[in-house]
Amino acid sequence: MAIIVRLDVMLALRKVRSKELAAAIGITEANLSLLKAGKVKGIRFSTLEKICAYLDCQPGDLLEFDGSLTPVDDPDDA
Amino acid sequence: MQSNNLFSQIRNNMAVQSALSRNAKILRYVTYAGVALVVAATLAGLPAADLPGVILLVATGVPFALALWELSRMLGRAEQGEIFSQPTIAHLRRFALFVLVTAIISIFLPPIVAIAAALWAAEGLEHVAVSFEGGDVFILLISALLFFVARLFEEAQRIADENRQIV
Repeated sequence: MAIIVRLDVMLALRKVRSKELAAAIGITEANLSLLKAGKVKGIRFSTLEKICAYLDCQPGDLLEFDGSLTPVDDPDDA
Repeated sequence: MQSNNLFSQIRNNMAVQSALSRNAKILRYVTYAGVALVVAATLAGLPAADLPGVILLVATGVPFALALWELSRMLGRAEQGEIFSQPTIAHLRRFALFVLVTAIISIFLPPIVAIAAALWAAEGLEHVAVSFEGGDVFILLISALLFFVARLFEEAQRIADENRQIV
């Protein structure tokens, strides 16, 4: 996956714990953990908006594109 | 505020799930009663029937009872909250298959049995009638529709899986 999730970096910079963020934005800790690990297929704009609002950051602070990494073949795009 | 919304959403989901589960449970018991009724009707008809009659009764009663059994197993899965899962879809597909088999047997077996009985008795057979009535068409249509619903369930399962991977 060429998209890297930098949520853990942002959490550390803002000194916010995962549990606190999960409760604030209304998703489970398990889902937040999957998001941090980049093991999700997508993120809703509403979730992204809540994270950005809570951590006072921009979407670009949370997501990064690395062209050197292998893109994921999505069968739905075929 | 947001956590209140989340709790309210979870409560609503649980209420819908509980209603679905209750309905599935009621339908499952109705289906068990249906299975018992089909088996009882088949067994009750056996003593009075001659050999062709026995063959017809068993050949139509068994797949229909199996269809209802598969339906009850599908409802059991739905009761556990497994609505869009592979086993549930497999039960639905087998239910459709057994309904189709029952319909085909009830259309084509009577003339086959009549021919076999005539050959067995070494009698001449003047004519054989294959009856194809509105009820048969209806059952075949229902069966095709059930296969289509199973296909829709598969698509719903794919969407549900994908949705679970989006946070």
